[in-house]
Amino acid sequence: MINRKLYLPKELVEKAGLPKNGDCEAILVGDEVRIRREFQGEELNMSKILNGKPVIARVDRMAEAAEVEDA
Amino acid sequence: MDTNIWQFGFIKPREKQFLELYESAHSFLISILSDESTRIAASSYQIAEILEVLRKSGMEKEPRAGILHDFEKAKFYVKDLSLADAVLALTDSARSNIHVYDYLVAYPLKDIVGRIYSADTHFTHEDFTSICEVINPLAPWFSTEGKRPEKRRG
Repeated sequence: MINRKLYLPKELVEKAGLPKNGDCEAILVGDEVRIRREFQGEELNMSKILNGKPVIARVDRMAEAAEVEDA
Repeated sequence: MDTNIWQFGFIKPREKQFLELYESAHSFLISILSDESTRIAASSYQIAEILEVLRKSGMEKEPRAGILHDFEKAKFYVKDLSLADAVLALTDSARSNIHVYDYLVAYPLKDIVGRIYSADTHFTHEDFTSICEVINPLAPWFSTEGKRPEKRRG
């Protein structure tokens, strides 16, 4: 880290799948720093699935699927 | 974002009286997933729970694999479960009589999330509302695991 900037080894950038150019963001959670690509218009499989034909199920089956034993 | 929202957003109930709930969860999911200013955090336990609930609700393997892969993308922050999380979850679950799984969803995200979305009545308990604001985006619909969702009046 030099002058409040964090420099990563080239091999680490490649291994982590970070872009060689462009912005990344760092998130500090406790003593852990996570560096990752910016989220901008990232294509999600979820969005495609939500816009497609939905799975149809009986509510009782859905309730059963979410069922857990009481504590 | 609690598992019930994922389930009712992806799975359409056959019964007409629950279509309103599906449409509400479905549009909420689409909206939050496309909102670039919002990141969705989840515990690693919850990722497994979501995928398992979708499997048991009848979703095929391929879309489930796509959903799982999405959780590795920048839109999401997945927090691993620690032993300390498990100990606290079990301790508080024994005291509140709320099953431990809700704690395993929420407790790893303490100090990370600014808002919890859930339609589960358990999340109105102080153990969860003390973490941050809890909002039910599916109101007036409420759900409890293993039971049919219900629409409350007033």
